[in-house]
Amino acid sequence: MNTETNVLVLENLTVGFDGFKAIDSLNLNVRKNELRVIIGHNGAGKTTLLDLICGKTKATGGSIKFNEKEMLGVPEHEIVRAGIGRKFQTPSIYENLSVFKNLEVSYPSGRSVFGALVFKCTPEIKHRINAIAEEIGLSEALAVDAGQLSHGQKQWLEIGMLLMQEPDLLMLDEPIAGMSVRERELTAALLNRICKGRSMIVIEHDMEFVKKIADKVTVMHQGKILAEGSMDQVQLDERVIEVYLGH
Amino acid sequence: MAMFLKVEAATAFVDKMQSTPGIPDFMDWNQLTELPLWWLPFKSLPITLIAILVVPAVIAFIIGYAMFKRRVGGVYFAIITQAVALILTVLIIGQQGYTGGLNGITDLKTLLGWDIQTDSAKYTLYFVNVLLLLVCIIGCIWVQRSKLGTLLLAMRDKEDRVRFSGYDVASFRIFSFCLAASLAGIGGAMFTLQVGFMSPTLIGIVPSIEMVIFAAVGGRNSLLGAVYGTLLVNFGKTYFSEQFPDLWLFAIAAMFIGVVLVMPDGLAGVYRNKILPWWQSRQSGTADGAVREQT
Repeated sequence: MNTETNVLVLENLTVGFDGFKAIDSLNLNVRKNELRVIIGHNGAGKTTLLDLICGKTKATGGSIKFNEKEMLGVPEHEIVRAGIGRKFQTPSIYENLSVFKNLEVSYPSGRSVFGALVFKCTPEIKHRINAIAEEIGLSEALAVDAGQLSHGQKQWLEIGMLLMQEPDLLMLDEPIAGMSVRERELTAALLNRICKGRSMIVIEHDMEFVKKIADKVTVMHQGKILAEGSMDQVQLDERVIEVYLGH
Repeated sequence: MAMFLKVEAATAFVDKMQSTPGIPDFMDWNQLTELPLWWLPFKSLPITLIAILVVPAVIAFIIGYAMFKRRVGGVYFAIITQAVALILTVLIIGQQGYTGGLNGITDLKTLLGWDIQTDSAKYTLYFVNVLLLLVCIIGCIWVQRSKLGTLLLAMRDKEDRVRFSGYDVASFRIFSFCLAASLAGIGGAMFTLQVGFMSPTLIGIVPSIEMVIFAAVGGRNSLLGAVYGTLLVNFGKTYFSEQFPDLWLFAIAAMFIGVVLVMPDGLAGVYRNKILPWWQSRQSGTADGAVREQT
C-alpha cells in the first residue's frame, strides 16, 4: 500500500483503562476517498477508536498520523481544524438553536474569541448553509428549532454540521441507529453522495446497511482488528463468523 | 458569584483616589509610614479607571485559565470561586495596614476635590450609574447577538459538539469570565462612589450568593432579567429588613427556593412563557370579539 494515498495511519495504537486494554496495539490505514466501515460487538473498542482519533481520549501508546502529521497529544479543536470531523453516537446538536444557526455555528470561520465577536454571516456562508441543508433534506426546516426535529433529522443535521467544516476525514458513530427503514435508505444515499472527495469511517451494526455503503470493512474484537477486507471477504472469514456474524 | 470576587479587586484600589493625600488614615493607625508601592498607581485617576476594568479581568483570566483549561466546570467551578472569594476576604482582613482590615476603606468624601456626599452629587452619580448600566447592557446584548453569544449558548447545551466543531471551548469561557469580572469592577467602583466606603464584609460568600438570587429571580436566561431581579430583591431587602428585621434572611431564602421551584426561568421566563402568550391571545381575542359584535 502506498503511504501517500493514506489519509490516516494508526500504528501500535494502545489505550488502557485500569489495566484493561480497550485498544490493543492496533494498526489501521485509511486511504483517500475510502469509505471504511468498522463492525464488531459492543465493547470491541469501536467508539474508543474514534475517541482516540479525534482526541477525546488520550492514547497510552502508539501513533496517529493524519495527512502525515502526528495527531497524538494535539488539542481536540486543532485536530478538527486539521480536517477530522466526528459525529457522536447520540445526535449531538444544539437543541435550542434553529437549524440555520446550528449550521452557521459549524462554519469554519470566526473560531477565535474575537473572530466570533465580529463574525458576519456573509452571502457565501448563507449559500453554503442552503446547499448543505438541501443535501441533508432540511431545506424546509431551516427556521425550526433543532430540538423539534425527528430523531432521523437530528442525525442528518449533525452530519450536515460536519459537512460545513469540509473535513478530509469524516467519522460517523452509528449514524442510522434508531432510524426507520425509509430513513436508513435516505441515509445510505446521503453517505454515498458525501463520501466523494473525502475519506470516511463509519461504525455500524446493520449488515444490510454496511453492504450498501462500505468500500472496505474492518472487524474489531477485544480491542484488536480481527479481519479487514471487502464485505464479501469479511463475511467468509471463519474467525469473523465465529465471533461476530455467526451469532 | 464569579463577578463578585472581582468587585473587591477593583474597589479596594479605587478607594484610594478619594482619600486624603499622603497616606490613608488606616495605614497611619497601623504604623505604616509610607504608601505601599502597589498603592502608588492609584494616585492617578486615569490609571485607576483603567484598573477598574483591567485588574479584575486579569485576575479572572488567571483563575479562569487555570480552571477552564483543566475543564473544571459546574459545581466544582462554583466551589472554587467561592473559596477564592473567602480566601481574598481573609487576606484583606488580615492585611489591615494595607487594606483597612475589617473596617475596610472608609470616609471617602471627595473625587478630585468634588464632594460626593452632597445630595446633588448623589443624584449625579446615580445618573452616571444608570448610564453605565445602559452601556453595559448594550455591550452585553451586542456580545449575545454575535456569533460568540450563539456559541456560548451552544456550549451550555453540547460542550463536546462545540469542541469537536473546532472551537477552543476554554478560551470562550475565559473571555466571558473576564468580561463578567470587568462589569463587576465597574459595579464595585460605582458602589464605592455612591456609598463612600468599601469593606470586606461586602465581599465573600453571602453577597455572592445574593447575586445568584438576583439573577435567579430575574431569570437566568435573560440579560434584562438580571437587572430587574436585582432591583426587585434589593427593594424587598430594604422593605423587609426595615419592617421585619428578624425575618429578612428567611424571606430571602424562601424567595430563592420558591423561585427555583415555581419559576425556574425567573420573572423573565414567566413573562416570555405566560404573560406574552396570554397578552397576544387576548389581543386576538378582543379582535374576534369586535368582529362578533359587529355581526
